[in-house]
Amino acid sequence: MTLERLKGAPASRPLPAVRERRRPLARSLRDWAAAWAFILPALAIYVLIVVVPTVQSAWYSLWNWDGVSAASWVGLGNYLGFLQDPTAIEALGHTGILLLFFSVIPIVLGLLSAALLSRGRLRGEGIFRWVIFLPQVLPSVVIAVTWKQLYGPGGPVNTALQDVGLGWLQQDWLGSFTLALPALGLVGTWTTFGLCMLLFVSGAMAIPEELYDAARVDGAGAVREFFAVTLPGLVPQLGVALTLTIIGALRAFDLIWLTTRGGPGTSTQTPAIILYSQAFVQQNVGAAAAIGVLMAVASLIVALVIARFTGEGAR
Amino acid sequence: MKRFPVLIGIGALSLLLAGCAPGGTAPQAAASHPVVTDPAKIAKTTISVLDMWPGKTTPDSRFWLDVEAGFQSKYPNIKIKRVTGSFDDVNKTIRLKLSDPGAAPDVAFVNNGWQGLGTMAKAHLILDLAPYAKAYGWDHSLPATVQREQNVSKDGKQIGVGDLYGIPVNQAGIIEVNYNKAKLAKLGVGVPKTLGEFEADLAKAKAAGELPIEMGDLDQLGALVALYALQDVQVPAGDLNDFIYGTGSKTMQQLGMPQAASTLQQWSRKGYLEPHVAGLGSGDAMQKFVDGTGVFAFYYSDALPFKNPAQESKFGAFLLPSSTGPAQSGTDATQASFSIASVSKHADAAALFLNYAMGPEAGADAIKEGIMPFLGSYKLPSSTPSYLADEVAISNQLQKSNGFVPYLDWASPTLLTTLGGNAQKLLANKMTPSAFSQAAQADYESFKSKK
Repeated sequence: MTLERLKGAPASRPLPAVRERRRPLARSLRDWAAAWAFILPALAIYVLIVVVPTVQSAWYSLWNWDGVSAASWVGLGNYLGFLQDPTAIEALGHTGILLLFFSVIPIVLGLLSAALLSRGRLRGEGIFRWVIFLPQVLPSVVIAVTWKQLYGPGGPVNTALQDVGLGWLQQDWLGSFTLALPALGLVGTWTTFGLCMLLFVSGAMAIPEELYDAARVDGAGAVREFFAVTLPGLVPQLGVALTLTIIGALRAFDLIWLTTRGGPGTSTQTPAIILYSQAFVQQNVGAAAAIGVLMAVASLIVALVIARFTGEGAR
Repeated sequence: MKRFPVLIGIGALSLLLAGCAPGGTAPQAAASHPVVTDPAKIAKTTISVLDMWPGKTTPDSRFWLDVEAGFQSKYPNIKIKRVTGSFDDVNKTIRLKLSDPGAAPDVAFVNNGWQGLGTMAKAHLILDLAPYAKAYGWDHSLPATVQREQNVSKDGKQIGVGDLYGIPVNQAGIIEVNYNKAKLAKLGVGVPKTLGEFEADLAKAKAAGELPIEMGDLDQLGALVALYALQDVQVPAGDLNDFIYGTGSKTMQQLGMPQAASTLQQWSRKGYLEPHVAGLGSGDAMQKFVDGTGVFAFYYSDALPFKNPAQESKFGAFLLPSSTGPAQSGTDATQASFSIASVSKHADAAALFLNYAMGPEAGADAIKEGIMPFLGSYKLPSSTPSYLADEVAISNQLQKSNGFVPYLDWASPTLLTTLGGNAQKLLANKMTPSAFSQAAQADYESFKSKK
């Protein structure tokens, strides 16, 4: 831009001094107005459907309110109530386990597949990618209903175990106090793996081939090549994948609600399940809003921390 | 730094939009005016009626369409606009719908218990029906225990006492025991007359290689249905009613819950229950039952997924008997209770409709569609399917003894979740019957103390 303008500006015809001073002001005003004209519609919609409800929720979270009757002020009572509730603490622990399944495992698998694919091309690669990415675009209700069937007594998972001689491993997967949470976690892995893989594979494609050549000339093996070239080149994608999957784990709801409703006992309860129950079963809109605010703040912190370490500034 | 004023501005604006304290703007109950019950004096109008039986083909929705059509032909000057949604959807949105004078239905399904009738009455979103109850004589025609199911106190702090805020439609939701006729005959036994006989039948079924009880509890429903039935036969209906409405002095421990929980756990240990009870949803389990697995199954009335009348004729139903004989009480409420919106401009027409929906014509519609009426006695034609005849007999039995027990989970908004999760622990031997009962009591007391 700058170069073009310099080249195009005729040096022999300087503009009159008066116009020189007036134009930038008029132009900047015009630019300013144009900018706002472009931004305003989107901003108005954003404020109306995101900012206003967010501030409203934060406000409601300070009240004891059933959603219709007059509310009473409780200050931070709803927050303290949630943080002192043993079920809530247990639910946060479950979120920790889900993080492993929704985030860590898919990212490790995604990196692995990116490393393998960056070393050579595979016939039918597109088809594999499509199949692995498919769960990402399926509606969550479809995923939940499908996996409920798969895990069910006499369902394909148990039948398959029987068929390969592992009949003693057959389980009521979703009815087991110890296995229900990991079983649902694996569904999360299955869903998010495709996204991670796609991000990393496309990221790896953008890594200049010369870097690999240089590494090979220096005698790097596959592992060394991965850590020296592929992984550093994938930091931005890693940031995106971490943000999306961690937030996915934090707000895990539909899969669990549609399969176990937080059971057996309380073994698959998550903060989002408690939020739903507070809002729609117990009609504590204030308490539900407090959980929502806490989840939003947690998500925001996660996003900021990840951006700090993987964003442009970090490199 | 420069962005902060903008953010603060947006925040302040949002708070303005949110209003100051949330709530409190709910419409007050309409000023009392003379109640009109004479259909000829009710002006020509259209009322909107919100139900929770979406579609036109299920027995429930056909029943409701029959009722609405019957009403309109009997009272041609009142038209009905049907609005419908699933049980979950209606429950989630009803508070907002009733608060909006422009969009509120005149008549709406409002579920019994704290979350429904309790909350709506407290917020004055639904009409106190006392004047209509008097005018139509509902205060005499409805059994006392049924009226309590629709009562909320003026200050909204108690349910089961106070004024009438809902009217039951004539379709019942009873917890009953279903049985497979052929399997019972093969065991060489009849319908059990006492709890002891029932347990003996379970043992016989097990010995004969049959599954005694089909049950699914993945969705935290199957075990509760059996627990409620087992509790009902241990204590008088009045005591349970008092507990549920928070007016009694007896605790869960004194109201047969430890015994009920213990019996269920024993059945589980003896292998009387579906081996995959933990992994099967209650709906899936009932599908297995009608397909021929299991001798008995506890479930709600009219909820078994029969494919056709031929399949239905292979099953029967009875009310779980007590240790001494036929049950005097059972969990039984209307399938749906309907209320009138406070903002309705057609309350008289709406009340006329409710009067019709709880009456004998609606009961006959239920029977016509093969489902169980809630109130009234009916002369069944000889062509009546045997399963329906069984259900009507159960209904008559409970009306005769005035033994209606509301669903136990009405006692507190969290009780269903507490009981549902703990029942799974009970079946998995991770909780003792006594701890189960105490946890229910603790939930109940915590709610009472917060009121």
